[in-house]
Amino acid sequence: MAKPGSWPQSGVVVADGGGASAVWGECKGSGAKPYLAAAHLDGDKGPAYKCSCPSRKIPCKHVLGLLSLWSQGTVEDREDRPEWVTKWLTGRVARQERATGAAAPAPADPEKAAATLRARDRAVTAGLEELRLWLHDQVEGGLAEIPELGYDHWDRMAKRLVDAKAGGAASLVTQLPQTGGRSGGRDGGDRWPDRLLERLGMLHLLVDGYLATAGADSGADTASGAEAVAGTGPHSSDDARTRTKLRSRAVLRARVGISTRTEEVLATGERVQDTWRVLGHRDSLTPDGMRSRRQWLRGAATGRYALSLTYARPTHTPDSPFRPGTEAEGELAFHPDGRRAVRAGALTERPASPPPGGTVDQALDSYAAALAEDPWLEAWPVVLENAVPARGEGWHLADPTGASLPMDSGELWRLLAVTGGRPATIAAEWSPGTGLSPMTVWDADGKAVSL
Amino acid sequence: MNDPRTAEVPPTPDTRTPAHPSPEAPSVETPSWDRLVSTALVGTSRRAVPHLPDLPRSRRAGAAGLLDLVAVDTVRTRAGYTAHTAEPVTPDEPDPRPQVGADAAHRLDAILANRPELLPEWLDLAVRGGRRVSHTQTPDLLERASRDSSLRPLVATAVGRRGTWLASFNSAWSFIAREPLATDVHTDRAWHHGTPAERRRTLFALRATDPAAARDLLAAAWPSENRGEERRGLLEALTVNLGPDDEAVLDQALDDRSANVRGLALTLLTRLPDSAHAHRLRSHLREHLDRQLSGGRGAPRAVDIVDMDVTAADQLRDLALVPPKKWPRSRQERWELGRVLVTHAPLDTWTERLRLDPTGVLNLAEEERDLREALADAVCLQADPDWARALLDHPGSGLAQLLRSGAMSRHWPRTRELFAALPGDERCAAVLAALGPADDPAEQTDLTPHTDSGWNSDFSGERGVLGQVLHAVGAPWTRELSEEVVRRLARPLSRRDARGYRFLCEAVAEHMPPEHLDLLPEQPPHEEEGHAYLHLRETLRFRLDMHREL
Repeated sequence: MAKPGSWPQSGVVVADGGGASAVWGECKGSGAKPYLAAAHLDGDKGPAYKCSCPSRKIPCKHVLGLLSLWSQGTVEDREDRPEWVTKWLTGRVARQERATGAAAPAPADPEKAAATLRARDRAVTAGLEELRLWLHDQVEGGLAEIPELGYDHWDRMAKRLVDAKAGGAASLVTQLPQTGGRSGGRDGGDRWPDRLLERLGMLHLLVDGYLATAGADSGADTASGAEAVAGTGPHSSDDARTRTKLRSRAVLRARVGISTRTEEVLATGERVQDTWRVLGHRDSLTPDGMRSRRQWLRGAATGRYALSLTYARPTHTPDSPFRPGTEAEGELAFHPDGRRAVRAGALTERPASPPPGGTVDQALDSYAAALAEDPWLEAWPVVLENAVPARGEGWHLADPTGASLPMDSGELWRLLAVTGGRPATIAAEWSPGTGLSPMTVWDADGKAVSL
Repeated sequence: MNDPRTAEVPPTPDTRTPAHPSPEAPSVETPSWDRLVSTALVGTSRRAVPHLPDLPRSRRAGAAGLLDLVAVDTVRTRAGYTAHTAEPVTPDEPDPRPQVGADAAHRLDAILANRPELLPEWLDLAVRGGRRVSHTQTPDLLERASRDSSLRPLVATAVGRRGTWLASFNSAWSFIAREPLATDVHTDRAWHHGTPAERRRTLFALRATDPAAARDLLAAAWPSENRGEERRGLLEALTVNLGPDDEAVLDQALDDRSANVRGLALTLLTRLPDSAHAHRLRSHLREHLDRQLSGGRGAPRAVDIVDMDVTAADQLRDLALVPPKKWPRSRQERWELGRVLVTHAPLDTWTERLRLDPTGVLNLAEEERDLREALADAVCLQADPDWARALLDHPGSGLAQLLRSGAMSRHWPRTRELFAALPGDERCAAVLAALGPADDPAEQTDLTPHTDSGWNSDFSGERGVLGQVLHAVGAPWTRELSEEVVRRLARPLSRRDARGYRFLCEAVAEHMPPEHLDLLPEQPPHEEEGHAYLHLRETLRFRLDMHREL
C-alpha cells in the first residue's frame, strides 16, 4: 500500500497560499476497480478522509498509505485531477462556507418553509394555552397538597409541551418541583412553597407574555408580558420602542423553546462588528442530560454582551468556540433575542489583556438592566475590577468600595490560590439565587486563568 | 429578626428593596410575599387575591391575578438585589522564588492526571531547583497531600507561602501549616504567641541553626505543654541535628504520659549509641545473654530469647513501655516484651558478647524466626551498615536467595530501610551482586523446581521480585545496574513470567535514571508483552523531558 507502485494515479492539490490542500490517489486493489482515496488537509475542522473501499475505519489503510507516500515526498503536485476529487473537495468547501455563513443558501421552497413555521407556531400556542389553564388550576386548588403529588403530575404537562415543540417551557415545568437548585440553597426543602410559587409566577409571566404577543404584529400594543412587568418605562423614540418590542418577542420565543437555526442567524441576524473579549465560560447540564457550555463575550467598543452556547453528549466536553484569555476582532451574528451569537466569517484572534471591569454596584445595575429585557435570565456575566476574596457569611468577592457579593464555593480554592488575596480582575456569572460563579481570574501577570 | 422579609420596603414598586438576600436565604423577600404564598397555598378558589400596598393592583381576578403579582414581586426582588459587605482576607506574603516554567507546569498537569507515581520525583526536582509550583496547581497538590502524608514535606515546600496561606482557610489542609520549610526563620514572637503549628515550625527553624538553643527552649517549655499531640510535634524538632546532648530531654520524655511521645523519644534515643540509655539497654540485653550462655550447655547452637526477663520496671521504662496489667504468662506475651528490647538495644551487644561477626550472630538465630526478624528490625531502626550488609549478603537467606525464590517473603525485612543504611552506589552494587553473573544458566533452571512445588499468590518470578527490590533502592542507579536490568528484561519469557515482567517494567520506568534511556532498544524484546515495554520507554522519555524542564 505504501509503495508508489500500488498507486498508478496520484497527486497533490496545491492550496492557494502554497502547501498541500489535498492529496488523492487511485490504489490498485485485488478487484477490477481501483480504490479512490483522498485526504483533505486544510479543512476548517481538521483533515478529512475519503476512500471508496468498504473499510469502516477512517482513515482507512489506503488513505494512510497515501499519506505515508506523500510525507516521503513521492506524490507530485498536479494541476489536473479526476472528477471525483473535484466533486468531493468542492462539496466540502461549500458545506464549510455554509457553516461559517459565507454563503447562506436560500430555502429551497420559501412557501413550504413558511407553512412549516406557521404550523409550529400554532402547535406552540396550543401547548401554552393548555399550560396556562394548568397553571391556573394549580393556584386555584392551592399548593398545599403539591408535595403529595408524584413526578407524574409534572411530567405529563412537560411531555405535552415537548410534543407541542415548546421545549423551553417544558424544562421550566420539569424544574417546578425541584426544591434545591437555583434559589434553593440549604433550606430549600423547608421553603418549597416559596420556590415553587416563584417558578409558577415566572412561568405564568412567560406564558401570558408569549400568548399576548403571538400572532400580534410587531407594531401592536401589548399590555402584558415581560415588558409591562419588567418596567422598561417610556421610550424616547419610536425606533427604540419597536426594537425593544421585537427583542422582547424574540426573548419570549427563545424562552418558550422556539430556536432559530444557525443558518438563519447567519443569513438575517443582526451583525455587530467589534473586538470581542472572551470573559469566560460555565458548563451545566440541560434537563435532558446534555452538557452545555455558556461562553460569554463582551465587545470592547460597543460594550455589548454576547453568549455563545454549545452542547455535547454527556460523555463529551462541549466545544469552546472562543479561547479563554483572547479577544476576537470581527463580526458576530446575533440571534433575535439579541444575546446569543455565533461567529460570522473569519475573526482575528489574539491574546488579550484583562477586560475592563467595574464595581459591585455597576455589576448589579447591569444585571437589573438585563433582567428588564429577559426576566427569566438565569445567569449574567459580570466583571469585577480589583476584586478581593472576602469573608462574611460564607465567601464573598468585595470591590474597593467595600461592597461585596456572595460567591458559590465551587471554584473557591483555585480562585484564592491564583489571587493570594490580592486585588484581581475576576469575571463571573451572577445570579441572585446561587451568587457569583467565578469563570476567569486574571493573575498578577495579567494572564487569564479559567476556573 | 433574621427573617429578611421583615425589612422595610418603600411603597413604590419600582424601588429597590433593601433586603439582604444571600444564597442561603430565599431570593424573594418583601413583606407582601408571605401573603402571596399563603394565598397560593390555600388556593385562589378559597381565598381572594390580596390587595397589597407595595404592589400594583392586579387587573385580573383569581389565579391569573395572583400569579401576576407573584411575577412582579419576584422580578423586582431579583432586579433590586443590593450589595453586601464582607471582610477582605489578608493577602499572603510574596514568595520570592520563581515559578516553574510553562512546560514543567503542563507536565505537572499530565502527572496529576495520569502518572501520579511520578509526582514525588517532579516535586523533588522543582524543590531542588529552588522553584515553586504555579499557583493554580496549589489546591490540587494540597488535596493530594491531604490523602498521602508521605507527600507532605515536598508539597509544603513546593507550594510555598501561597500554599500555607491557602491552607489556613481549609481545615482539611491544616497539616501544611505544621510542615517546617527551609526558608522558615525563628522568631521569639512565634514561639511565645504563635499557634501550635507556628511554634513547631519556629522551633524547627531554630533547631537547624542553633540546636542547643532550640533544645533549651523545648526543655524549658516541656512541663507546661499540655497536649500530647503537640509535645510530640515539638519533640520531632530534635530529629534535626540530633546529638548526644539531646539525651537529657529525650530521657525525660520517656516518662511522658502519652505513648506516642514515649515512642518517639525511644526512637530518637536509639540513634544515640553512646547515651546512658543505650548503655542501660546493652546491660539489660547482656544480662539476658549471660543467663543463656552460663546455662552450662557449652557454646550455644541457637539463642533462645523467649524467656527474656524484661518485666523489671526500669527496663520497661527504658523501652517506653508501661507495666503489663498481669504477669505475662504465655510464650508469645513474654516475647512481645523481649522483642522490643532486641530491636532497640545496640546491635554491638550481640557481636561483643557472642564474639561473632554480624553474619555469625544471624547464623545462630537461623532457626529462631522471631529473633531473626527482631534483629532485622533492629538493623533497620538503627541503620547499621555492617549489619545491613550481613543481612543482604547472607549466604542462606540474603538478597540473592530472595531473588531466586521468585516470591517476596513475608519474613524479608523492609528492603527500603535496609538499603537506607548503605550509600547509594553500594545499594546498586548489592543488587548487582545478588543478581549474579548475567548468563548463569543455573539460575534459570533453579526457578523451575521451586515454581512447581511452591506456587503461591506472591509468586511473580525473579523479575517480579527484582522489580520490588528496585523500587526500594532509593538512590540513582549506576549505569552498571541499569545495564544488568536491561539484560534481565531481554531474557526469554515464559507465560507465567508475564506478571513479573510487567512489574519489572514498571519499576524500571519509575526508577531508572532517564538518561539511561539509550540502553533500551526501541523494539520490545518480547512481542507478547510489547505494551508494557513500550510504556516503559515512553515513561523514561517523559521523565527525561521532565528532568530537562526542571
